[in-house]
This record gives sequence, structure tokens and C-alpha cells, in this order.
Amino acid sequence: MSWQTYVDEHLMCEIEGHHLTSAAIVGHDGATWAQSTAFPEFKPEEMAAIMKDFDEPGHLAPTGLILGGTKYMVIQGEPGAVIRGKKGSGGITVKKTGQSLIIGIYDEPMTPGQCNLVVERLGDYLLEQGM
Amino acid sequence: MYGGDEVSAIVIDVGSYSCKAGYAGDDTPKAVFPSVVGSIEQTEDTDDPKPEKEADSASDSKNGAKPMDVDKAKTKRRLYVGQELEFRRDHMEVISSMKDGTVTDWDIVDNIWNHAFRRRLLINPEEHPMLIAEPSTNTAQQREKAAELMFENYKVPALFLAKNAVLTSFASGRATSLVVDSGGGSTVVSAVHDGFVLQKSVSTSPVGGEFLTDCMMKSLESKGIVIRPRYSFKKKEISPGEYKIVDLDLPNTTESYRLYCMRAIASDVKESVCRVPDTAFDEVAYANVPTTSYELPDGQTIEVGADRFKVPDILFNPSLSQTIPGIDGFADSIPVRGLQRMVIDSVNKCDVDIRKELFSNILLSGGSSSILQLKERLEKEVLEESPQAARVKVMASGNSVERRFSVWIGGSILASLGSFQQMWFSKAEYEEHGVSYIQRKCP
Repeated sequence: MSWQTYVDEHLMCEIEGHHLTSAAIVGHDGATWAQSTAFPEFKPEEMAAIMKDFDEPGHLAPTGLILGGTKYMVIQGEPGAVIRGKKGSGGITVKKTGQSLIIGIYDEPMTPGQCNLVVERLGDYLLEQGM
Repeated sequence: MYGGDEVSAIVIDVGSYSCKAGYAGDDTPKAVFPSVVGSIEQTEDTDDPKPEKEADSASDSKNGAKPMDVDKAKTKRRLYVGQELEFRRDHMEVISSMKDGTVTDWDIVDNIWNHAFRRRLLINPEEHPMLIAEPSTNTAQQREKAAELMFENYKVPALFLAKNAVLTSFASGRATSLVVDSGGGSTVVSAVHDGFVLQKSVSTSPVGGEFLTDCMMKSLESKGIVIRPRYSFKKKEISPGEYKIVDLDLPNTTESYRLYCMRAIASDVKESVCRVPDTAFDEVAYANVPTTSYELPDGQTIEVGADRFKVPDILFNPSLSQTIPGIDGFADSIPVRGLQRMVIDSVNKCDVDIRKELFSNILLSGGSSSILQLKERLEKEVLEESPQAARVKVMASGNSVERRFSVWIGGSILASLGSFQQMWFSKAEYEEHGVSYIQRKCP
């Protein structure tokens, strides 16, 4: 299965009638492996800052998580494994796997919990596969 | 997805001092009772062959099954919850499920829940989704433990965990605010942004209502006042209309129960007479303030003077407590901060873009926030220490019931929203994915 298929069928799929606004799978080096059409264009330093927060949990809290120029306030995640951000009625979930970052961006009416389920479910699967 | 619209959810908030429980959609919790419990260790020789029908004993609440997590080496004990705590019993200790804001005894929590559901609300928990309020500092393990107990012991159809500060913010109709929650056991300051706690901002202090009560109690005692617990005396009529206090000899009363009862009286003194001073308390300036009279349960009338202002000022200046004879110093070496410092520090840990909004939306909640003039004093102190351009606004419900129960009320509103119903962590999901799923479903 190609990385793009993971994005199209597992990240952008419907969950209880809602779906992510956009999603992507990015390598730890910041290279995009696959992304949905609407996924924002991001700067290398933005992705580097996200990676740094996995290594040093709390790094992003004072400045916010910035992706494609959009600032998300960092809320409780799981140190070293999941970063969650909030902006208005939407937000972002980033899960780290062995070699990649799974990123999901959502907005109303999708709920934070639903975004977490979609992103983290795929992340768990990739972790199990050693990817 | 759980179809939560069909029946009212139950909202439950077990604080360090009291438990609040009731139906989602209601204005106030139906059941409010102490979250400390009485405990008597049982030995085989003293087992009561006919346990009191109303006792919420550990074995009773689980139909004879051994409570989860009870240390098998631990002697069996009988727990007394709620109203039962008001009756003195020989050898009954008063114990808490929490230490430093963290649950350390889940058996007690289990008994409190059982009491709330089956004795007070008279519901079958299998029929109602449960919204549990949790501390902003709750750990992942604590959350999973709570979820596991709910699904395994109570067979609830669905569950959600929401942080206290988020619920308080919600109760005031704000998605973003700085919540200053001064409850019984502690004071917690948390920034809430778009309905979520910004974890780095959370600030806690051991100075809460109970600490102030202890300060009041020690201060009164240091002036020679004897506080007699209600159980410890009776009034004897020595002539028509004239009574004499007769102390009762009850040698098997525990020290913890005696303290619990004395605290109840000192707490009422505190709530009746205290007022936050306009500026920092000064011993000399307040030495001659007019006193207020208060009649103790035994008929003694006491006069409270400077303590009226000194005790509540400890919230702002915790080191004041060291001037009260008998008050122990704070355990850890980290200096305890006053309210205004906690607020400033909390805001400064947040992103610069939202600090202005936080300063202008400071919400007070918790029973101790109802002390007269606290709101005005906090606004003044924060204004003095905040950045020049900041507009500082401290808000509190004018209704002290709403202030005290704001966490529960926020939960009541949240759990009755149509848009919330898709958020529930259902029993089916628990059975399929396990308890750690709670971290995703209730972020």
C-alpha cells in the first residue's frame, strides 16, 4: 500500500459522518511522504520545531505549534508520542511513529477525540509494523 | 458512537473536600457530601454479624466481591460515607482518598461513587453515561484507573473525563479564560484556551479552604479559646432556662475525628466573619480593629478581631501563616506563592498571543473564592503586577452556590449539549480497544 493510500483511505476517511480537513505523513527529516490536497505548505523549520517537541516535551508550549503559518495552542498530549494543538473550533494532532509523523488537521463539526482516533489509530498500526 | 440523548447523564465531581453529584441539565448538584470518609478497621473478633443496613461498607458495595486493588495484606475495614460520618463512633478514623491532589486510595473513591449513585441519587449506573470532573493535573494513569473502575465496577454505558478548569470556564460561557479555583484542599490556577487546559500553565498551591480553617483554629486556640466538638458535650438544665455544659467522656474517639469536628466549627467561624483586607495584612495596623462576635456550639461567645482579615490574607501572603502558633511550615522547600503570583506566573507560561485575553478573563471558582472582597483584592494585585497595557478583569458568579459548584455546573451544561453526545467514550469502545483509549476520546 502506498503512503498516499494511507492518507486517502485511512486518514481522510469518514468517521461518524465527519472527516479531517487535511492530513499528511511526513518523515522525521521533514520530507513529505504523502498528503491530502488541502494540507498546508509548511516551512522546514516548522517541522523541525515539532520534532524537537517530541524530544523535549513542552518546547512548543510557550510559542505554539506553527504549521503553514497557522498557530495552534498546545494542549495536553502524550510526551514523546502525541502532540495536540487547538485553534478555535478546530485543531491538530501529530503522532510520532518509528520513521514518520502522522498529522491530522480538523475543524468543526469533527471533534478533537475523532481526530485523535483517526491519526493515532494509523500511527499505532505503523508502529506495530516497525515503520 | 453512543446515543447519549436518550437518558440524562450523571455528572460527578469528587474534590478533596466534598463530592458533588447530580443529573446533567440540572442547575445544581443533587448530592453534596464530604469526600473524606470514616474508617474502622475490622478484625474477625469484632465483625458485626448484622451490619447496619445503611452502611456503605466496602464489602457491601461490591456484593461480597473483593474490592479492586485492595491490598490483600491490609486488614478489612468498614467505611462510613456521607451522613454517616456525622455520627461519632469509637475508633473511627477520618481518611481521605487523596494526597496532594492525587488519588492514592481508589477503594475510597469507589465507595464515594457508590454512595453518590446508589444512596443519594438512587440510580442504576448501568443506565446513565457518566461525566467525571478531574483535576487539571490528573495523570494518564489516574484517568485510566478511573475509567477502568467505572466500566468494570459500575458497567456504565459511556464515560467522559473533563478537567475542572475547562468545566468552570464552560459554566461561565467562555472558551478561553484563566481559572482560579480555590477549593478545600488546594488552589489551582489553569489557563483554558478554546475549551482545553494549556498544561504548562497549571499552577498549584496547598493553601486552600482547609488550610485557612486550620489557621483560624490554631489562632483561636492560641488565644485560649476551647473549641468543643459537638459530640463532646451536652447541655444540662441547672435551673429553668439556664444551662450548664457537661463534657462527655469518650476516650475511644480518634484524634482524626476530633479534628474533623473541630474543623467544621472553625470553618463556620471563618465563613461567618472573614473578609479579605484591601491591602496586605499588617499586624500593627490591624491590632485594634473592632471585633465580631460568634457563638460557638457550646454557647461560648468569642470575639474575633484581627484574624478576620489575617486568615484570608494568607491566600495572598502564605508566609503569614508562620506567625500563627501551631501551624506547621509547608513541607517542600519550594516557597508557596500567593494568588496574585500564581496568576501572573500562569499567564506568563502561555503563548504571548493569548495573554491579553487571559488577563481580561480571570474566573474565580471554588468555595474559598467566596470570601468577601477576594475578587476586588485579586484584581488590584494582578493589575499592579501585570504588564502596563493589560486590562485585568476578575469575574465571579455573584451567586456563591454557582461559584462553589462551578465545576459541576459546567459539567451539567456540557453533558446535556446535543453536540457533546458524539464525544462519549462508549462501553463498546472500552471493550474493543481497552482503557488507554480514554486518552484519545477525552483529550
